[in-house]
Amino acid sequence: MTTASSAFAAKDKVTTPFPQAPVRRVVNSSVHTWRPKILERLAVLMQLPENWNGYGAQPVSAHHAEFALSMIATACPPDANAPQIVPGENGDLQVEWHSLEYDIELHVRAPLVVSAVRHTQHGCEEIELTNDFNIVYEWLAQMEAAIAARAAAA
Amino acid sequence: MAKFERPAGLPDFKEPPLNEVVLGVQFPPIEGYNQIHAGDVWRLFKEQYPLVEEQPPLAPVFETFGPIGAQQTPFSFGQALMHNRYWFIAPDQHELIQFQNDRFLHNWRQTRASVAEYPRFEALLSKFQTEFLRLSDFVRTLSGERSKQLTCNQVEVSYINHILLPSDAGFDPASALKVANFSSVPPDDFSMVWRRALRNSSGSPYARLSCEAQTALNHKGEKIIALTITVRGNPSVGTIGNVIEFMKEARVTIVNEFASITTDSAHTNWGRIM
Repeated sequence: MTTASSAFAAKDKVTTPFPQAPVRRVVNSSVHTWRPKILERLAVLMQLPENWNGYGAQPVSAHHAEFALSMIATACPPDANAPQIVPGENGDLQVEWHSLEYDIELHVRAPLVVSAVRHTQHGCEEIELTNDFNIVYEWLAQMEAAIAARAAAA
Repeated sequence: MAKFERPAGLPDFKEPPLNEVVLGVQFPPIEGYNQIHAGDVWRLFKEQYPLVEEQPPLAPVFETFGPIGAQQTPFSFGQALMHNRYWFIAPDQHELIQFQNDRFLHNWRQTRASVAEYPRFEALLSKFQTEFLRLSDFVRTLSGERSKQLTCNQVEVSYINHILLPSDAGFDPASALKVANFSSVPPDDFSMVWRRALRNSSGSPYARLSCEAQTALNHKGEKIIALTITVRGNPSVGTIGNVIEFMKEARVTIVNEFASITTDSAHTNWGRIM
C-alpha cells in the first residue's frame, strides 16, 4: 500500500495487494445525495477561463475547488440539498443553501479562509471559519428539519 | 541550521520495520512559476539529487472537520490542469525530493537494490528544513518580492511500515497488530482504515491521524502488513518554524500510535529500546 506522496506510488512497487473483485451489486448506496451535483458543478467552474465575466475575473483554481469539495463533504448532512456554488471575481467561491426559513452562505475567499453567514427571520449570524465546519453542519441540519416540518404541516 | 533532538521517552526500536518516511508541505501555487522553471528548481538540489524523474501531479488535499462519522472517504477531482511533479533523486536512490508548483516533499525509502539503515527522523527533518528554505529563497526571486515567503496550508508526515508476518501461518495479523485480532479463524487477507482528529489545547481540530493496514506480499513473495500512518493538517501559521513544530508533533503522534497498535512480541522482534 502506498500513499499518494509515497515514492513507491508510481514505480518500484514492493507490495502486491491481493486482487479484489469490484463490488457493485449493492444498489442502496450510502453516497451523499448532493455529491454528483457538486462534483459536476465544481468541475464546470474549474474550466472557467481567465476573464470569464469580461471584467477581469480570475479562474477558479484547483485549490479553491478541492477545498470547497472537502468543506462541503464535511459540513453537509447526507440528505441535505445540494448547495448552489457561484464563482467570484477573485477566484473565490460562494456556497449557498436557501430555504424559506434560512439562508446559509459560505464565502470561500481562499482555502481555510471562510466567512460563514446564516440569515434567519430573527437576524443574522456571521463567523469566520478555517477547517472546522461543525457549526455549518448544525445549521444545515436545522434547515433540513425546518423544511421537513413545513412539508409535514402542509 | 538547528539540530533536532529526539524527545525523551518516545518509543524507539533498533530495527523498525520502516519502508518509507515522507515529510511534506502544500502551499498555494507559486506566483510567477511556469513549467520552464522546473530546471531552475532542480539546479537548487542537483548536487545531492542528480537524478530526475517526471511524475503525475498530486492533487491538492485539505483536512477539514465536522461531526464524528459524518465525513465519508475523501474524494477529489484528481490531476486536471496541474503542473507536473518532479522527483530529484539521490545517487543511492534512498532519498528524494518531490516538487511541483504547490508541493514540496522529502522522502526516505528502502529500495529493492539495497537495504539502508533508517537515518532517523531528526536527520530527515534537518534536510527538509534546509531544502525548503532553499526553495523559499528561489521563490522570492520569481515573485520579485524579497519579503515573500512560501506559506504552507497543509503539512504531512507519513510513516510506511512493512511488517513481516511469520511464513508458516496464514495472514494472521494478530501477531503484529493489536487492532486486528480475528480470534481462531484469521482471514486470507484484510484491509482496514481508521482516522481521528488531532486537537490543540483549546480543543480545536488541527490535523488528522490516518492509519491504513493491508496484507500484501513484498517483492520477495513474503507475507507482510503494509501499515501506513499519516498525520496531515494545517499549521497554526504556515511559515517554516511552525511547519517544523507541526512535523515534530506529528512524528510523536505517529510513533506513539505505532507502538500502541502493535504487539509486544513484534516490539521484541524489532528490538524495542524505550
